[in-house]
Amino acid sequence: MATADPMFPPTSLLPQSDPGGVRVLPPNQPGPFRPFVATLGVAHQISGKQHDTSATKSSYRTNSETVNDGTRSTDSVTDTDVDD
Amino acid sequence: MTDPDGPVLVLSAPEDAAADLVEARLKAREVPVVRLDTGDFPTQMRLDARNHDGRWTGTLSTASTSVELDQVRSVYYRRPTRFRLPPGLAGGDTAFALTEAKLGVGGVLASLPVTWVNHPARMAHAEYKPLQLAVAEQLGLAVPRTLVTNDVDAARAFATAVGAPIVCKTFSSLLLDDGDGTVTSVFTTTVDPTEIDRDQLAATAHLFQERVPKAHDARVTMVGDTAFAVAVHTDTDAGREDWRADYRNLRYQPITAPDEVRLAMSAYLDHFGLRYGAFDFVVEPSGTWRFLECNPNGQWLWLEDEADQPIAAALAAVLAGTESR
Repeated sequence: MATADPMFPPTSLLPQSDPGGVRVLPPNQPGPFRPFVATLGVAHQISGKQHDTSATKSSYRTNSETVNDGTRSTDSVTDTDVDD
Repeated sequence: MTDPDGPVLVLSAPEDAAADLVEARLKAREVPVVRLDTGDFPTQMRLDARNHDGRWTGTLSTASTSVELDQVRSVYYRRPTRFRLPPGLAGGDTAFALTEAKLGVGGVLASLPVTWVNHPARMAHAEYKPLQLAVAEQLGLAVPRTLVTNDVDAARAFATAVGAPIVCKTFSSLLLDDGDGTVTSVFTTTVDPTEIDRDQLAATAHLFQERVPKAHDARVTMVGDTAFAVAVHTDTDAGREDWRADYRNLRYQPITAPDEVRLAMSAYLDHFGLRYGAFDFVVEPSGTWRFLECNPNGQWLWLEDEADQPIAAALAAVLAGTESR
C-alpha cells in the first residue's frame, strides 16, 4: 500500500495483531546492506501463545539466541506473556 | 451515551489469556461481556451499522454471538487479530479490501462514544516514542538524553556530549520474520559509535540514548489513576541492558512509585486520552525514576501472576464503569 500517509502509523484507527498478540513483519531475507538498528537483532523462535488454565497462566516456549562478547549461544526459555 | 447496563465489548483474539482474565473479572461482577475478534471479519462476522442521531446503531455478529452497537457499555481493545479475507482475491484487491475493512469496521467501532481501554486511535498517537519522551518531560518526568538521527556524525557527537555509553533502541516493537521459522527482536543495545557504519545508519531513523545508571528497572502498570508498580531485578548482563531480553532471570518486587511520578503518569494518560499504560522506568542508584517509554497496549498478565498485581480487576472496574475516572 504505497499510498499510506508516511507520518501516520499503519496501526492507526484499528491496530491489529498476529495470533499471539504480536506484530510480525512480512518474511524477510536480509541482504548484505541493512539498517544499523536491524543488525542488533536477536533471533529466536516464537510459537503460539498457550492458554494454560482458566487461571490464565500464559506462557510459551522461546528459543533464545544471545550474543555476549562475540560468543553466540542458543537457549530455550519459557516466557510469560511476552511484553513489548 | 453509554448504556450503564449494556455489555462490555472485548475485542481480542480468542486465545488471549489476558482478555480471558478481564472477562472473568467482569463476569464475577455480573457485567455482561461480548467478545469478538476483528480477525473474523468479513468471513465469519457480519456488520450491519446505520447512522442515527449522531451515532452508529446496528449489530456486529458472528454465528455464536452478537452485540448491539448502541448498547455497548465500554470496549476493551486487547490485540484483536488482522482481518481474514475470503480466499481468491488478487494482491491488489487484498490490499484494497483490507483498507476498506479497516476504515469501515474501524470507523464504526472508533465512533462508539463509550469508555475505551484504550481507544485505538489514541494508542496509535501514543506509540510515537519521541512524542512520549517530550510529553513525559513536559509533565515533569526525568528522561534520558536522546538523539534521533540518520547521521553517523550526529551519533558520534551525541556520544561525546553524553560522555558515557550510549544505547540504540527501536521506535517500534515489530518483530522481523527471518523466513526460516525464527523471528528477530531488537532489544536495547549498548553501541560503540566509532563502529557504526555510516551508510547503515543513514538507511533509516535511529534512536540513541545515554545509558542511564541503574539500580533496577521498574514497570508501572497504570489503570485509570491506579498504579501497579513493580521493581524488575536481574543479575545478568542481558537483563540489565534490557529486561525483555532475559525473562528467565528476572525477579519482581511490588513497590510504590513516588507520588510525583504517579501524578505525572496520570497526567500523561490524560494527555493522550488513555485509561491504561505500561510505563517503563530506570530507577537510578540516586533514587531518580527516569522514564523510558509507555506502551499503551503493553502486556500485563505476567505481573498479575508473578507479582500478585490485581490488574485485571482494576481493568474490569474501569470497563464496568465503577472506577472513578
